Amino acid sequence: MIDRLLIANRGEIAVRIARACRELGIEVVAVHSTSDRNSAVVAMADEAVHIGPPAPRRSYLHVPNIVEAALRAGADAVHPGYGFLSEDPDFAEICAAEGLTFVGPPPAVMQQMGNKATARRLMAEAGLPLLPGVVEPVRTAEEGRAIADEIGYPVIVKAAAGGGGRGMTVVRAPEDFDEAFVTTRAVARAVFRDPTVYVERFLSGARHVEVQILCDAHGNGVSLGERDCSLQRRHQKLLEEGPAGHLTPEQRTELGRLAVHGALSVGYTGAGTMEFLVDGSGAAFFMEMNARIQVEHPVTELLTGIDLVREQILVAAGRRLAFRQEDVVPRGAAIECRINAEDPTRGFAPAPGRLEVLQVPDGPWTRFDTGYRQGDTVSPDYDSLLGKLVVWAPDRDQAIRRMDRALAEMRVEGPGVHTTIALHRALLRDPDVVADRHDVQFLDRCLPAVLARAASLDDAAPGLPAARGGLQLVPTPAADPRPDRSTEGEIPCPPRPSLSTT
Amino acid sequence: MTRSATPVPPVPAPQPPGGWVSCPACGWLLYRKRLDRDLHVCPECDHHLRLSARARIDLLADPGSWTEAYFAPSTPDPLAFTDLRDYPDRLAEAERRSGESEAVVVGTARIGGAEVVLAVMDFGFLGGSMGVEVGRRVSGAAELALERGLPLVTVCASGGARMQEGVFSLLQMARVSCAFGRLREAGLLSVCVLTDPTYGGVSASFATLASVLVGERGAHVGFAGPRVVQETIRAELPRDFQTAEFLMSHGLVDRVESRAELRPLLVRLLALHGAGPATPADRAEDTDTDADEDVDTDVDTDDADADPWDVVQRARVTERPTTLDYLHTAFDDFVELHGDRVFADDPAVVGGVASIGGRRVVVLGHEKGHTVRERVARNFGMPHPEGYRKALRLLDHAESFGLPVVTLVDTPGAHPGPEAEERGQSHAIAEAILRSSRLRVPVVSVVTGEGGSGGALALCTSDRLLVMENAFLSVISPEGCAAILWRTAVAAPTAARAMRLGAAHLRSAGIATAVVPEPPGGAHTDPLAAAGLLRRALVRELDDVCRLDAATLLDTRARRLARISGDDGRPLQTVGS
Repeated sequence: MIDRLLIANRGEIAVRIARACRELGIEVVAVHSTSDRNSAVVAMADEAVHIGPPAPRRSYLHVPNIVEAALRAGADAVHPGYGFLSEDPDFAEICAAEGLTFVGPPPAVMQQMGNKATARRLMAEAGLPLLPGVVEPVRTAEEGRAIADEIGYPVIVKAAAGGGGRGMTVVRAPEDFDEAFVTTRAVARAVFRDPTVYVERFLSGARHVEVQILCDAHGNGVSLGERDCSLQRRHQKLLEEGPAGHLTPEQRTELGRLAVHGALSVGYTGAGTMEFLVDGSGAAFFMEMNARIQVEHPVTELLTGIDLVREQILVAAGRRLAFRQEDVVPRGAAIECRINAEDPTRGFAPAPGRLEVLQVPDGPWTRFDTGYRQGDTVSPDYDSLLGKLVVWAPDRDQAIRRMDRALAEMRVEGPGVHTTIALHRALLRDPDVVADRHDVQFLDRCLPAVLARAASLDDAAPGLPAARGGLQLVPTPAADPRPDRSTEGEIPCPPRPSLSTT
Repeated sequence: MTRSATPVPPVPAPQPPGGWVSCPACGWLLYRKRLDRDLHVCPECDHHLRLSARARIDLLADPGSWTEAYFAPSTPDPLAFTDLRDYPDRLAEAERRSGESEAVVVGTARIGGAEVVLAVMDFGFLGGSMGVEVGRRVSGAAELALERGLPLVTVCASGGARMQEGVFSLLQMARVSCAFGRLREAGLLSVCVLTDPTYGGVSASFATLASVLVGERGAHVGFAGPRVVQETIRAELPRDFQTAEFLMSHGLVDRVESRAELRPLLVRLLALHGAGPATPADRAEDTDTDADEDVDTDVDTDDADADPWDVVQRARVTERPTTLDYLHTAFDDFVELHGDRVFADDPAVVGGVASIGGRRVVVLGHEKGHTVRERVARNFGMPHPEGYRKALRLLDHAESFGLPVVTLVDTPGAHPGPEAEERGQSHAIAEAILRSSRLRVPVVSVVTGEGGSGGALALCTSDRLLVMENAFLSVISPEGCAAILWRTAVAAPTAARAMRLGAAHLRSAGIATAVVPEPPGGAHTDPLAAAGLLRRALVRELDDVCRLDAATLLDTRARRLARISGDDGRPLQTVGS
């Protein structure tokens, strides 16, 4: 059993893991860089170890310091969170060699899943459907045409170095292939100085659907339902929701079954996510597997009532899963908005700074996971995730309204600080998003329109509606004879009657 | 809550146990397994740790393709040498520690499918020093390459000649140099990878005699070691003294590559020199470019009356594609080769080996850059003598490997300045013109922008001279001409018209053999389309001119140059009247 666990991470996920540990009665060792020395998790932990300067590669990515911290602090387990070292098989291996329980899959499995080509091959062997295409670069138009004929049109010619819609061409018929290939390669060479291109089947109207799975070390695995993360900008997820309402219950069950089967076939243990691309007809294609807890895990937690981090730790400690597939019953709808300290109007440039005001929304089925408190400073050294606002409601429409309400309640202010709050409110008002018919390219395509809507929202309602002054049924506080603390400085105190008897 | 002390950051500490290595350069702790995967390059400071010969072979050769050459064992100890220990004793220990029988390993292998002879030195064996056996094996490798007609790839790591074999070691320099000379005469490609460290008798012989020299990033390469230099002349040495980067900036190596880039580079270099399996790319491109080629024949400039001053201005637009732009868009592959191998690498001239439509060529051109920073770095495309000397040695390279030459001309002129004069600007230009006029391989030149005077002519003495629609060749810049003859540079437009600058006149005067059309408004309006048009023209001209044998080529080139006399157009001298 695990008695003392070191959290090799920072920010909201470190706090999240510390909470799970507290509830399990596990002592917490936090590690922190110089700039995080006063962070929330440091205050919560039983022991905190300073592991290096702000630059991640000298602190949160620096394995020797973290392992040394674990050994000196007497930890018997390490939770890597997400990002940083969470998918580093070497780290998992080193932890094992030092006698530390690593909360995650075995290093060999992690290695396999971390390599896109290997993961694809293994999942294909396990019978999962793959998106037709090649992982290898295509060198000539002739070669590309042969591949396109094999996988079927429409195909997409993609620059390896491209991204965000640049350097890709959709080809709908064989006669257009050569030109598209030559142009894309020329653009890739001119713009990215790298002419490498790939050819893949093009899915129009595709959705990003991922299945949360949990496997123990005894060969048991369950799926905990799926999340739809189609609202992403250049592969950065912004808003996640569950369940994927565009799939039929049968399709969802089948997807869950495939995901668990795939994970168990490679000996996966712990929490993980299988990512699929789902086309308009509901056909799903395996993309990749994330061998860690994910940012958007609370969506699943709200839908299923299962504490994923807790289960993850228990599984790592060698426990059997306490529930079976039929015990997992997702209910209602959940949405998560990533509140990032970024300025969407300036190309999502990081906009960190001191959080002079941080007012967190509250209310029924409203959860805000963050590692920051009012007065903390968002450091430019790390990712810009300020927190995750997650709501649950019995259905999607109510969840959207609840999320909008919660977003409107939220206040983040500070010099230079910008957030994605307004952008989320604008997104949740978009007819395509409301009708759940957006696809993975939606944001790359419609961002200007969404930003314009966000700007108009900002102008109209900076906070909560206050068009008229409040209705007063009692005398205004100014007339109050008792000075309250906030006005004490301005209004001269009436001379107090002397209470002394002498 | 308690706080415990920071684990001490890794300062150069005693070698930690087990799976960890401390970087010799920065002291960072490296997990050995990852270091192996990272090719023994420190992720923290990019220091390239030394590699054994076997690790090098694994790094460079196609898996399973290595066949080691057998050399009859010999234990030379010609001097019966003894220092603190007997020499045979030291040899035995070196063998035990490195697992090699000598400081160099020779064999054949495939690199990207191309069969090569590979000779790799091992610094772990007596510091990679060259004695009789190393000399025998390295010259043996060159002979093997000669015998089989294969390229030779050597990887050097050596402290120099082996002291224990005295003067016999010294003479190995002559032995291996001779072998490399024969390789050169036979027109066989040799590539030398200079790794840390390469010094003395090795760097002053075969290590720097290969056709292409590639320095591994950070490698120290030189003749006398820095300590010797410092002790002898008591001078403060620059920080990067004798590094591969230092060598490149002094024009002494063709390229500097990180370890991970070495193999991909070798694969491309070998392919661009015709080694290895003909790639399907070559043939495919060849046919599909030819297909639409013939539809679009050379447009004889319809608007022969383009205003010369407009032409001059368009040729100078900063967004106009430069030589490097064309190399990345109109050509299929390009490996730049830097330096004049003597003094410096002139950034105003770029050159290297390239492929276009299935044909392998040597490309040379002026490079201006686009932004202010680039333009300053490239000296506005005005070459120094070392630029022309780079061109010269690349012309030699083309001739030795039978590769046609393509030149792209775009310069305001050769750099006017005292340093250029000191280093012999006239000599360099003259030699470049002479060399290209007598080169035994075809030369196709394209004036892509400004063709300023002798500085341009050095790169456009050719069998075919193409001019882009908005390019010109002139004896002097219009401003210069105006300043001299009109006594004011303001008269430049008038001067441009008087000199009849532009493609049309060059074509009608028989100086240019064809005009390459540009997108409407000039090449800068649609660089990709301009590149496409240039590519078609080049492929067509190369196909045509490559049919000729060397003798015919030289003969027609000489006659072509003799014919250009201006008698079918007005002579330039009358411009001022």
